[in-house]
Formats: sequence, structure tokens, C-alpha cells
Amino acid sequence: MENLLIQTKDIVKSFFGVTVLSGIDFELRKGEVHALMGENGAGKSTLAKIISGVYQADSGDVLVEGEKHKFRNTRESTAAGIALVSQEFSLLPDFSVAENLFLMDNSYYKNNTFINKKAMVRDTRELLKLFDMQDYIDPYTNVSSLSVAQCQVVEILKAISKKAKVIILDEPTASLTQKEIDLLFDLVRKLKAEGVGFIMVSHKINEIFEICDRCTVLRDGKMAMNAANISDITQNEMIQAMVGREVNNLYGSNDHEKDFDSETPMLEVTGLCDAVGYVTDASIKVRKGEIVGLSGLVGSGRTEFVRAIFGVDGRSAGTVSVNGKVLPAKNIIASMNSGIGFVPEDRKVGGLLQELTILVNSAIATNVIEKGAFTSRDKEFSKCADMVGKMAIKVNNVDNAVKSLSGGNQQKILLAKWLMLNPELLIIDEPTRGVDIGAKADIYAILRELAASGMAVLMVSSEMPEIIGLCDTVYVMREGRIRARLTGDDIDDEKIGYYSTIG
Amino acid sequence: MKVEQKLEHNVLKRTLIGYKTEFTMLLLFAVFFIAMSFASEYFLTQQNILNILSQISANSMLAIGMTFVIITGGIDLSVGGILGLSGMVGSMVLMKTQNIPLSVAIIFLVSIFIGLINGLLIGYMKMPAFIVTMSTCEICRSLDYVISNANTARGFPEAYQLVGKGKIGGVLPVYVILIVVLFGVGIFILSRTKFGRYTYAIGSNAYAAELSGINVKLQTMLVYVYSGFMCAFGAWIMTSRLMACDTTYGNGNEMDAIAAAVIGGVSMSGGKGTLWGTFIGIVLVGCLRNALNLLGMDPYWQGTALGVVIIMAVLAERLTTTAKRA
Repeated sequence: MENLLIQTKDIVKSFFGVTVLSGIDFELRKGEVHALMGENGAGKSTLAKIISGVYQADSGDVLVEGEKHKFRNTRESTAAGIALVSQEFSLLPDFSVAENLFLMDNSYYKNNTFINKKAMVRDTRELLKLFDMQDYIDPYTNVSSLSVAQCQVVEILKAISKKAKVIILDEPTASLTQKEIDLLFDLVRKLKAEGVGFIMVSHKINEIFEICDRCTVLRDGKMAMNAANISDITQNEMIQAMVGREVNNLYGSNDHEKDFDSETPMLEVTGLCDAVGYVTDASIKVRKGEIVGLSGLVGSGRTEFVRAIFGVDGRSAGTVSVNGKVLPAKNIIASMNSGIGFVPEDRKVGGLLQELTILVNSAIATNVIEKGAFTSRDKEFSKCADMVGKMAIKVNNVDNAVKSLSGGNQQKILLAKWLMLNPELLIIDEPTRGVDIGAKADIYAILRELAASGMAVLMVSSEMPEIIGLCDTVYVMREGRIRARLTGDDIDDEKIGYYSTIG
Repeated sequence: MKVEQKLEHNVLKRTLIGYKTEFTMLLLFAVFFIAMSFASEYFLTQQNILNILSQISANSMLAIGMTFVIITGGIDLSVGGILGLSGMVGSMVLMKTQNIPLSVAIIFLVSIFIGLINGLLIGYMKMPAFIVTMSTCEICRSLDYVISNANTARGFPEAYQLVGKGKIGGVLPVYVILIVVLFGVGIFILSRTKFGRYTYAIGSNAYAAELSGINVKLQTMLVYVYSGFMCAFGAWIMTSRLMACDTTYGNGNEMDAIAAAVIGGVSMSGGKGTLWGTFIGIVLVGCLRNALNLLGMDPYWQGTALGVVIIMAVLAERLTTTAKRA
């Protein structure tokens, strides 16, 4: 077939005797977007890295346009027209957009020595114009001051400027807002029409159905679904292929029937403004057993709002009261003592102590609250083991570093750390970011169970299905203010989308 | 329950995994030790062993505090300066008053006070530890000269030599007891108390520690105070052993303290390491210096040998961890 850009034949790869990929036959056609799916650890990133030359396969062939290649590094794969856009950007933060695009291109140097910045900027402008992005990105801006979405676009443009025929997008939308995702997908569609092939590694099923043509699913390093046409399969079939069992309903049943309005609030926030000025006059109520969602675009002030409630950041106005008792501002310990747990949005940044053991990570919040100067390993071990069992966390040894766990299990440990305090109110920011489908279902089930047992849950999420599927009440934020409170059947895509953008 | 059985609770295995670097260094040390025993018949005599321990006694105090500081991800370059200044102030008071308890109390007060200043600037003002402690070190060194006028303090009462030279029952030197007890206390604090756990937590991820409710500013400050407190022991032992104090005391001792911690596997980026490792490190440094003397090497070569050992220790650590990551 002449329109095959990439073809892999019977790829096998193992690390230290553990086979992570075997029998992988993958293909990418010209002008298609091919989804590569699977749970964390299924081997999709490894396959992407083999195709782009980061890793080398133990056996099997990688064919680029029918020609066999053995890439030893990414430089060789770039030369063959393959570009990998991963979550960790390869851009230089202190250089401008134009410099990042053309820094390594000798034709922009006079006498091979002096930089021709004018030419760089001119060509960057042209490239941006080609995709109608001249107003979106300025060639002179330093990459460090770009948003994640803008960086992603620059990465893709960089690939294009190097005449890439194949672009691998590894979780491209993980931290993008809906608007930015639309922009990115527009760019992908334009390039697709010009014959560029995309491999898209992603967890977000909705997006796969929106943009992809075909889909390959890996499970435990083997093919679980081979290049199926997206139009021929259902979401459930895809999930089943990933998980290996049937997941009936990810979110449990949410009939939005229970009425919480008559009950006295467990948490009551009135007229809150945060110290920096991201949040203005925000008021919410959360009752026992209620799951309350905070929706809105990234940057709408949701995270800042919950941080000000918990006391990470200060407040300039408004009150926060728990069970009728007013909480002091900017006092995490007081919040913890009054029964609030706080799972922050990025477990790597603010959640877990990566080098320390699973046991220490699970116990650290309890240490802070409990009296006494000493730690007791036996007590901590039995508590941790209890949580590991209850939450089905895959752990071999609690004395291993927490970073040795998969994303889903790390998230569960982070959750366990706070649940050990038996909080009355759990604030959880992006409960399932970077977590595979199986762990997602587990976390949803846990949150439902907690609510059913009387815990109040305040959840920030960018994933619409999560909000709709789990929450009893949804507050929508835009530009630092609460724009709507939705309950019951009013909780749907359309209304949330409306209030988070214009309403 | 099925899951509980799967969880590893084997103390021996846990120890082997958790203290991998320490065991590696211990092995290296054992090889060195045995080789030296054959190379010099004097090496393994009781007198020489006590001699080594006496020489590392002051520095091992500094190394204990330094280990805490480095585990938080910081550095304390002022320990040598603190030792010098507090030792000098205490010695001058002792010279004038002949009052031992008063002088020792002053050594501790001065050390803790400078540790407190370090801690306030680093913990509460969020200044870089390197800059702050470098500056306080300079200040200490300078004040050392100012108050002593570069003279040597001497003429201490006989009883003052108890800590540096005294022997319990005529056999067991007091400084050996101090080394064992203070390392023991440090190990206990790091592994069994909240103070120790918070120290690791801050070094691993200060922001996550703060979100877990840990008072990061206070804890950081306390660790520098602890480091100052340990300097006081160093100053006490040193002045007592030499029964005098001049402005060279403590000069450059911070480097031996850092070296001991690093050789013992304490990570400069924080969150990793134990006092067991530091103990092996400080003994190794002491034995190395002693061995070069015994073998008749020019003392000018000591720095070269020490430098090579540090680089090798860190290189070995780097190679083993990158191999794991690949």
C-alpha cells in the first residue's frame, strides 16, 4: 500500500526481562488521525517512543513509507519525518517562539555564525498565518510566558517546519481548555488535509470520537483492538477493549433526584474574594452526603477558590464556615482540624512526596493532626494496609517510593492520605487527571460511596462527563465569579458550557 | 485478607532495600579497613582507633546537623564558623571566669543564636540557604578575630578536659560516648519522630508538605537551629580536647561535614539519606586521613584523596540510579 506512512511488524520490547510489548502490528495512513489507546502501563507510550526512536525494539520492524528503519535516536527519526510532541515539551523556555522554531536550522545563520533573527521572525509569522494563528501567538514572546496550549501549537509548528509527515501527539489535551482543544483540533484537521498523519495517544474517549479516523487499543502490551474504524465502534466497545471487562456505567447511576436544599449546609462560603484577586464574591453551600461540582474553564478561578477555602491562599473578603463555625483565613491546620480534606490538582506538584515511601505518603497528613512527637510504624502500616485493601490499590511493598506506582494508584494513595483523617468534607481538585479508565471507575465509586456514607464532597473538574455523571449540584464559574448553580436535570453539557463561556 | 498478605512486612528485606547506599558504603569501608590493617600494623591498635575517633569527634557533631539540613534540601556552610566563634566566646569567658558551666552554656547560646538567625532568614524570609549560611560564616569568622584580637585563649581549669580527653573508668573516652549517643539521638529523631518525617517531607517537596498541613517555615528554621545546636557540641569537644582556642578552629570544617553526608548517600537535592550513612562517611573520612599519615604520605595529598573518594561515592550512586531508570 503506497499511502502507508508508518507500519510496524511484530514489535517486541522488554525492559529488564519484563515484556512490555509483543506482537504489535500498527499502521498509519497518510492524512489520518489514528488513536492509540489503552490504560496506563498498556504500552502505548512505549510504542510511540519506539516509532520515534527514543527506544529501540528488541525485534520486529518499523517501516516508514515502506522502507525499513532502525532509528537509534530522535534525530534520525526527525530526519525521516517523524515528530513526537510529548507532555514534557522540548522547547527552550527562555528563548522566543521564533528562535525555538528555527534555532537548529543552519539557513538562519549568516556565515553559519550570526543569527538572522529577522528571517526567523518573518518565517514564523508566515507559518502562523498559514494556520490563522497570527493573533494567537507572537513570534517574539518567550516560550516561558506561553500557555500550555500555545506551547503545544509551537511544538506542532516546529514539527511542520521540519517537514514532518508523521506527528505523534502524546496526551495533547491533558491540560487544555475546551476552546484551546478546538483550536488544536482545527490545526490537526488542516494538516491532515495536507496529508500529514497523526498518532494520538489519549485517555479521553470523547475526543477520540471527535477527531480520530481509526483506533488501535493496547492492553498489557498486546493488541486488543486492531485499527478499527471509529465509525464502526461504540464507546463501550472501546472501553471494554481497554479494560478487558465490561464497564457498565463509569459513573454509577446519577438520577439527580435527591434534594439537598432543605438540609443545613456542612460548608457555607459567603462572598469570598481571594487575596490575589482571582475570585470575586463567590458563595456556595455543600451539605452532608452531597457531591458538589465546580465547573468552568481552566483559569476561571475554580482552583483558586478551593485553595482559598482550604486556607492555602489568603482571603480579602467573605467567610468560610464549617458546621456553623467560622474558619480563620490562610490556616491549613485549622481547616484540617475542622474536618476538611484537600486533594490538590496536580499530584506531582502539590500532592505526593515522590521520593518518599508509600507508607510515609499515606501517613503524613495524619501525623500533622495527631498529637504526640513520635511516629508509629505498626499503626501506620495497619492503617495503610487497610486503605490499600479497601481502595484496591496495587501495591507490592509499602516501603517502595510512591513514584514507583502508576498514575491511578498514586492518585488513590493521595486520596487515602486524606481519607485516613475521616474528613467530613473532602475537597478534590481534578480527581482523575492522568488516571486510566479502570482507576477512574474505582475513584468514582469511592467518591459515591463516601457521599453515601455522609461525607460532603466538593469537586473541581474540567471533565464534563465527570461533573454531569457524579454531581448533585454544580456551580459554574467564569472570570472568578460564580455564574450559575445547577441542580437536577439542569445539569447538562449545554447549560454548563453556556454559563462557563457567556451566560 | 488477600491484599494484606501481599504487603511486604519483612524487616530484613525492608532494611536491605531502604539502606542500599549505606550498605554499599559499609562494604567499601570494610574493604578499606581490612586492607589498611594489613598495610600498617599500627592501624588496628586501640590507640590508633581512639586517635581516629578523637579526630572525627568534633566534625561528626557538625555532620549530624548537616545531614538534617541537607535532607531538607538546604546546606549549612556556617557550621565551621559557628564552631569557631562559639568556641572562642566560650573559651574567653572560661579564661576570665574559670566557670565551666557558664562557659559551656555560652557556647550553646551563641551556636543556637546563629542557627536561629540562619533559620529565620532561610525559613521565614525564604532566602537561599547557600547565600545566608555563607554570609553568617563570614560574619562568624570575622567576629572570631574581632573579639580575640587573633590571640589564643588558654589557661582553662583542669576539669574542662573531661569531654575531650576524659575517660569513664579510665577506658571509655567521653567523646566516644558523645558520638554514639548523639548519632543515636539523631537517628531516632529522623526515623521515629514527626520532626524527622517533616524534615524528609520538606526536602522531597516543600509545597506538597505545606498542603499536607506541615508548618514548613517553622520546621525549616528548627532544622537550622538544630544544626547550630550540634555545632556547640563540636566547639565544646574541640576546645576541651586541645585545652585552648585560636581563630583557626573550625576553619573549613563544614567541608568535612558535607563530605561525610554525601559519601554516606545523603542526596544534595533533599529528601534522601540517613545518619547511618553519614556515620560511615565521617568514619571513612577519618580513617582515610589517618591511613595517609600512617603510610607516610605527604599531608598535602589528603585533599586529593578526599576529593576523589567523594566523587567516586557520588558517581557510584549516580550510575546505580540511572541504570534503574533506563
